[in-house]
Amino acid sequence: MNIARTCLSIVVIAAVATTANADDQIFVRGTAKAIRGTIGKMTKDFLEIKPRSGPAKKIPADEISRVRFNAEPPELNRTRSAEESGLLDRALKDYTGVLGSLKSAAKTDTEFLIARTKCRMAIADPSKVDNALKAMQAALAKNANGFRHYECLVWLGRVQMANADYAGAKLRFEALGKSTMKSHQMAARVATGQVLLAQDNPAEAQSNFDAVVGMQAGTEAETASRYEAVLGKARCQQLQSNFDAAIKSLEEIVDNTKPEEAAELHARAFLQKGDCYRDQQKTKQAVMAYLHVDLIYDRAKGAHAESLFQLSQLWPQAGHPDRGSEAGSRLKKLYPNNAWTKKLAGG
Amino acid sequence: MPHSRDSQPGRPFAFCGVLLFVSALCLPGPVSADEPVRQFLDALRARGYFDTAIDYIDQQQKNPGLAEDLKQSLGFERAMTLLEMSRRARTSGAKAKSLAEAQATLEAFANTHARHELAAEANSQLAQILFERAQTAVWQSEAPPAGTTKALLLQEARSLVKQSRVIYQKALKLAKAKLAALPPPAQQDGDKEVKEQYSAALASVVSNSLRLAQCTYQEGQTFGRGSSERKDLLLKASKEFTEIHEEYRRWTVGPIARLWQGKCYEELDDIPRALGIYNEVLSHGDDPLVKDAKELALRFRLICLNHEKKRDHELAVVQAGNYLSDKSVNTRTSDAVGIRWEKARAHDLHGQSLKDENPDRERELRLALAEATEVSRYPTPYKDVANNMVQRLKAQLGDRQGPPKDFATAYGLATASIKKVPALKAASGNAKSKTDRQKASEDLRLELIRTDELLTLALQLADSDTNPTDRLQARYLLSFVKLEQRQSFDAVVLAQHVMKYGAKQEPETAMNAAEVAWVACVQAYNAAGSNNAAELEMLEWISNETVRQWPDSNRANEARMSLGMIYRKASRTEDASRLYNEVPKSAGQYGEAQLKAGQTWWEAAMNQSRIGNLDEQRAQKIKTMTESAEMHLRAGLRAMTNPALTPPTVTAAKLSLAQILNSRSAFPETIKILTEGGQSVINEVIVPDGTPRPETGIKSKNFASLAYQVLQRAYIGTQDIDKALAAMTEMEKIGGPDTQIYVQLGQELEREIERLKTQNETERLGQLRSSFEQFLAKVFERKDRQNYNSLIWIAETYRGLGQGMSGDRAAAATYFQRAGESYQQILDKNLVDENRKTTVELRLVSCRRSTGDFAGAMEKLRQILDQHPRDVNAQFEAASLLRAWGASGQPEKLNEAIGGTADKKIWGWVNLSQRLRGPSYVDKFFEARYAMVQTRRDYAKLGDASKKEGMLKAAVRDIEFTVATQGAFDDPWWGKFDDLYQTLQRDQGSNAPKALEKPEEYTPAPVMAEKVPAATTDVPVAVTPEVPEAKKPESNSMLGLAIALPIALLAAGGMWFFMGKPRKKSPSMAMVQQPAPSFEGIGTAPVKRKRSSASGSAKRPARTAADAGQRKAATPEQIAAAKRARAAKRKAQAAAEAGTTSAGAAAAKKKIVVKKKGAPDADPAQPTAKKRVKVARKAPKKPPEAS
Repeated sequence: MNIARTCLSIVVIAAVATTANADDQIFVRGTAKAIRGTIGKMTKDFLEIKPRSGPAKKIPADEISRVRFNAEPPELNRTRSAEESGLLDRALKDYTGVLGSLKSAAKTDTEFLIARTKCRMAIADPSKVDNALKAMQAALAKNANGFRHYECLVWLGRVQMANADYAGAKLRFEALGKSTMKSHQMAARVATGQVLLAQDNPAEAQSNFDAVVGMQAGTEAETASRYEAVLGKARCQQLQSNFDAAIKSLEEIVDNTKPEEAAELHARAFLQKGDCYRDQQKTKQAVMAYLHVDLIYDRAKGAHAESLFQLSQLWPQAGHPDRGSEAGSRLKKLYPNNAWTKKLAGG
Repeated sequence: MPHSRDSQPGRPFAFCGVLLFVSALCLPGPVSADEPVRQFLDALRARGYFDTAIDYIDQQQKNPGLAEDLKQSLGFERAMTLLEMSRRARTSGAKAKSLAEAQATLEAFANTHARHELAAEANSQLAQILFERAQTAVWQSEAPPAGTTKALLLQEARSLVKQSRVIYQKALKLAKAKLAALPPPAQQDGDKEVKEQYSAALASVVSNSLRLAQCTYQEGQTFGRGSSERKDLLLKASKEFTEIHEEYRRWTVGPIARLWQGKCYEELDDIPRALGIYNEVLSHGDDPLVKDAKELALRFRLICLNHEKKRDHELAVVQAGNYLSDKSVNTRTSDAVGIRWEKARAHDLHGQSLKDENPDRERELRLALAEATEVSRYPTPYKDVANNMVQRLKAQLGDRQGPPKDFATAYGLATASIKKVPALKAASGNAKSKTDRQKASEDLRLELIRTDELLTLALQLADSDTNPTDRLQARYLLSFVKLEQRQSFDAVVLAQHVMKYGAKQEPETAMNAAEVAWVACVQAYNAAGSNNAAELEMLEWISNETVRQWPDSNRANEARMSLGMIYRKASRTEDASRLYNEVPKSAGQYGEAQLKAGQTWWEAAMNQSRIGNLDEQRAQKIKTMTESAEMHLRAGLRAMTNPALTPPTVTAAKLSLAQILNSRSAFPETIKILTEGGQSVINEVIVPDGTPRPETGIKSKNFASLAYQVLQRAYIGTQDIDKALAAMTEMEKIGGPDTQIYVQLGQELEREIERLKTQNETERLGQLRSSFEQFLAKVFERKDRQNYNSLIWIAETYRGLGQGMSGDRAAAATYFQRAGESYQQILDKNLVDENRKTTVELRLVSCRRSTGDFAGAMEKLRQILDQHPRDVNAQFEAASLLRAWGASGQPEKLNEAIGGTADKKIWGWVNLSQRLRGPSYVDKFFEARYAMVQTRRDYAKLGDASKKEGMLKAAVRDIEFTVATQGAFDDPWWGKFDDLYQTLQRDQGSNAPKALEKPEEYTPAPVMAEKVPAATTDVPVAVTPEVPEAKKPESNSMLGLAIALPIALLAAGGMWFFMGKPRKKSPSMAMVQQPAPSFEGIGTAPVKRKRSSASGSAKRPARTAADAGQRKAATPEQIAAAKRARAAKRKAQAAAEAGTTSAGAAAAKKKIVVKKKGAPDADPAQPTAKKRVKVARKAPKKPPEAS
């Protein structure tokens, strides 16, 4: 009798739990609350969700921060958190672990998440580039008409750029620019500017950044693109030795965005700030800036590796060769394949 | 244990280098009029600008005007640059590359210029390179890199040692031959040149003998342990070291040879004998030349204690710990790291010897892990072995459950760990014995390391589901742990982040973080020395952010006060004043803030008076500043009139106000402020008869003396002669035999006259002269007062009048003549002891010079120089005399003033400035350089017209060179040089002269093996951080820290009469305006002093009376503040020693904080306080509580 009761209780609880999680959920950028319902139509530009009551809503693809599918296992959401928090090894392991149990849209999206995690890793580790590109190209193919389509392009372009494949990256960003969404157009222009910068064409790069900085940003995604442009512009100012203006721009980014929401942006802002100080031979100020990346934004892997390299060079000048040595050791340990590690080894 | 790592025979080479260097210093150095190529290269190398040095050498090689001899030596200079570059290389590849290039360059130089004077040195350097390469090969043989084998490396090392030996043998042979050719000391008949040659040759014999013995030892290292070859070579080396030790026992080289003799025994496993020798070396005195040998001996001794035959690991731990905890030790040197390595080994060996169940086992192994981790951070030969130990111990100590896997677990463990910190700190503080203290501090260190690791891990494990408050708290806790570990920058970064992003969601944590940020930043500021601009920026940010986030809080007011102090130190008077004024009237700190504002303006007025020429504009500025000072001081005094309490700050403020009143001749009010009321300044400075005065504070000799000086001046102003004399009697009582005070009174008078003249206050000038003349006459009449002190006072006062009246030659000459008569009287009556006689004689010479009696002055000066040929003051006076003589119409004398006389008895400015290099003579050096440039300018005006252009160019270049080699030096000197630099350009015809460009602050590239130079005494005041208490914002405010800013500006004490003012010089006036020799000798001060040393020159920067008898002076406020801080500290110490706990101790401690908080200024007795910020803080006592 008792056993029967217990079994019944479990069934009831499970049923309640299942009911509670039965909806699909879409999280919109800048809001903590999910829109619940059933995901319906999916295009490159939007995702439609039909709440239990009321009409269906079209959520623009660039406003989506996270999607939870009704049938997904609970640990998948924790894995998404881990990925967003930069715990990439754990995320990759856990995504791969649950993939076999997923079906249809949830599976396709998790494949994208795996590809994205691989791309994040590849940016700090060139040995992982091929694998990442392969995974993301597959995700792109599966999302030819999916809401992840443009995000796939962004990540492909980023990885190609990190791998110095500027022509390839440019093509991806051009494709991104063809999106009907303003945020994508802005992001494409910024990314193109970054490619131009990497190709030592700061003048043309700056015109791209200026154009985006001058645009009105209405949505979260547009605002994010605008700050990316400010970052790019600051780099141009730094290259022109206009350090004060560059630092002012970078501080604008840090002051107007939240670290938990824009950790990557903050990391790069501090990195550039460090560069500005370093170029002015303000060693200690540069160390402080790079230390922000090391201590606060260490999950932005690419930026973190670079900050460790810079610290390994600058700590000795600031009177702490031991700390320089320690930063160098951590760079080698954490990012053995990173370009900055190779640069360090090259003396 | 690889023994080869323990033996670094390169070490004694440094000593040999010292010997050679000392010998070199004895050699007469010709003064080249050409560009000082070597000096410039030395300066470039010292700053680590190797690329620039190489470029410069290339450039000079193409310079057709460069002397051939110098050009030939450029190869040698290139090699030295490469050698130095290799020593600072960060990677082994870069090091090897530079070393190889240096070797090739040296070989080329030695071959091409075999007869060059530097050829021997080139060979010596070459041998050392080979030797160092051999050492490296032996080290590498322990873990051979890919592509080679141990045997190959040892073979290579052996070959290199042999090559090195051949060179040393040749050098030894040459040195012996040279020595044999010279007459022995008994037959040298006082011939200095022969004596110096003999010393150099002997030094060469000694050093090469030692190097050869080292070669034997090093060759032994190239054979395996236990091999017969190694044993034979060690025995041979031991014999060679013994011979050197016996022959040169009393030389520095004696203990070094002895030490290596012990090393040979140690490696032959004769541990007792080796230990005996090491103990013998360690028992040597504190001779700095033996200091390094003692450090090495300690390391060797520890190796013996850890030896399998001895196994006294606990003693090794204690001895290494004692050494490493000595704050004067630079723990980054290779030997110090070696000592730490032995400590790690001792912990490891001890821990491994204990059974698993013994709780000490894990503790010992964890300590070994901590020490080995520390060792592995430094690029020394111990790095690899330390890394191996770290890996091994980590594996051994690894938690079976593994590290925490999620944020909550790691954070929970961290918060549990951090709670242990206060108890561990208390245990450390309460430890009765040094051993207990050391054990407790090691436990604390371990706990901090563990907490750091856990918090870092927690933050790494945090994801977007982690509670943001917990994450913020974790960061705050980590900032605190970093602070405790003195990782100041890390602590600041983390705490700033919490301040910035936690202010809204977690204001309490954010406020606590502000406290951590502040303390950490001050910690960094203290450590930064003069290169503290970045830390200053951070402090500003933290203070401003605190004011911005919590504008009405008490902390904001404290932040204003603290930042005000920083601005004050940085001479940002307006900013400081603005902040002090932002403290509202309702705040408890209002009165203090006003007093500080007043003192800040007063200091600024003083500083203004020190920079450049005192023109009308500047005089007006000073006047305005003084008015502000008076206004704030009065406001502060009004706000602090609590009859029950007269804090020393108030007394100090009253004295400053009295100084200001004197400066505008408001003598009656000065007298009133100083003497009226039960708590008048004069009453406050009194001590009961027979009670010794404290070193600092308002009852100190300096403060009391200053008070009476101000009072005396006021009485002279009111013509109350008896009271003035009474004040003078008090001054004598306070000052004792130190008569520096009279010198300063004379200087005061001179400056007062200057100021009155600049401000066209003719009537007051007349009154001043009249009152002083009358006063002096009365003193002179009183035969009962005609002792050494009073005559010096009379002489110095007349001299001050003379200097002040330099525009009126007739009046000035009269005063100088009277001054001369007083000096003469002192000499005639034999009132001066032998120690001070020369100084009085020099003063007499100075007076003769000032009256135009150049021949008479020179005659007397020659007599002095015959007796004291190396007396710097005499040489200064000689150069000054020649300059004045030259300016009177005999330009050839100007050349002598610059380059010295043909008989070399008078050095001249060039030679003087060359001999005055080094931190001990900074002021003298600048004085000499400045006078040299002025003299060149005089020559350009008066001398051969065809040489005018060249002379002006040389003068400009002299200034540029001074800047290039000295960096951005102190403002008063900078201002003078800048003025002169622009004047010279105008002389050259420029209508828009450019200002002197300040070079970037030099940050020397640290070199692990280098010692901190002895002069680097600007050690930070230790911050003793306490655990901040989380969640208790109302407890102790962060800004319960106070910065005691040592105001190096001597004028801070501030009296008008200390305002230095360099006058515009014209040849006709130079006669009476030349800098006089230092008058320190009249008091008790030695000639050799640090930056703040006074030369006694009329143009020297202002000094306060508080400076009398000590190097730094301070405002009355500073003196008072320092006294309070000391008294509180003594009280706290007494309480601690008496075992007082809880309330008593806390009260004492709190008192320190409270006192220091209000005592922002430095202890004026601190001789090197210039760049220091002294911190006291009131910090929460409990550990931070995690939410």
